[in-house]
Amino acid sequence: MRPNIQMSPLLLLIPIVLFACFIVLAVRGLSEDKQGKTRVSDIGKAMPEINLPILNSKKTFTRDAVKGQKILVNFFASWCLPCAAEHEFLTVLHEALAIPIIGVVYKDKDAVITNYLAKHGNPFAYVLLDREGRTAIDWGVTGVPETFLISEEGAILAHTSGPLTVAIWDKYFKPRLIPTTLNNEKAP
Amino acid sequence: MKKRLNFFTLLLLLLTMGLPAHAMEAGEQLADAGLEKRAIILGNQLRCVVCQSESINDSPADLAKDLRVLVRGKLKEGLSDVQILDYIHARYGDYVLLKPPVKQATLPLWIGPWAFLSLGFGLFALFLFKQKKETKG
Repeated sequence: MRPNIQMSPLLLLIPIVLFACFIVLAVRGLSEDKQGKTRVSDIGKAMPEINLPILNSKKTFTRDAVKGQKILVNFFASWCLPCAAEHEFLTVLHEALAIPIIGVVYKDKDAVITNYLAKHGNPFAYVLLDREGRTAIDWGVTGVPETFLISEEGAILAHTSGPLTVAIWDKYFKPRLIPTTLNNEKAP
Repeated sequence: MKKRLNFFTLLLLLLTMGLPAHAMEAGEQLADAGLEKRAIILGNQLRCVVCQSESINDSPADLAKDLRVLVRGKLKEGLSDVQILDYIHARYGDYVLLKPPVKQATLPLWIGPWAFLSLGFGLFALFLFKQKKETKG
């Protein structure tokens, strides 16, 4: 007779281990388009349209205002704590880089944002108002803050959700600042 | 007896009626019943990307509501169901679809449960087979 009782705990372990492997694979499969907090599925795609009113102005912003330039597009709101946390880094970037930063205000009030920028400083070349959050949906934004780097031709070069940090900047954004003609990886 | 049966039937009916309430707010529904029906079917296929395993119909999150409104807007514009799903899929990726497309990365999701079911049956059969052998031997 075979020692069946001694074998069964081992047999029981096999499905458990396999199931654990399955969970890992399944989660990986669903998040395959994410590298940390950056979404790579967007990269190389054309940026969605961004026709929004400019804060404290009667004008509407269109891409033509920054035509032929790389731009950073940052979705933020005054009520968002991580946005306040990254604000300082955006200011650093504004001072260090020649790239205009377009701030898109997500569902916020004009007066509140005006006060917010007066208090924290304004690193943005343009502050745009996405009052209904429709532009955010067009851009696939799930929450503020989210930041996109856009090429001269209007293609998405990098995209991160959550506050932009030095680490994320150095890893995903900085390498893509070199002219897109040299960037053979995902050139549009 | 009959009265009691009626009471239970009524109770059951009332309980089931509570189910499709969802997280939708007043005024979200479209006047056109056909479009609204399509909107609900579409909503059930879309994941609320800021929640845990909830469709946009079930979620009270702001973004879920915005997407419900967007789906209805697109339906009114005359877009097809596939066009609307494509529009949202293009923006939020596979994760937004509660039924992700079958491809290499999502294959474990599709095959996994069936593989485990067969494994379970296999092990169970093996166990039965062994036990039979033991009682015999």
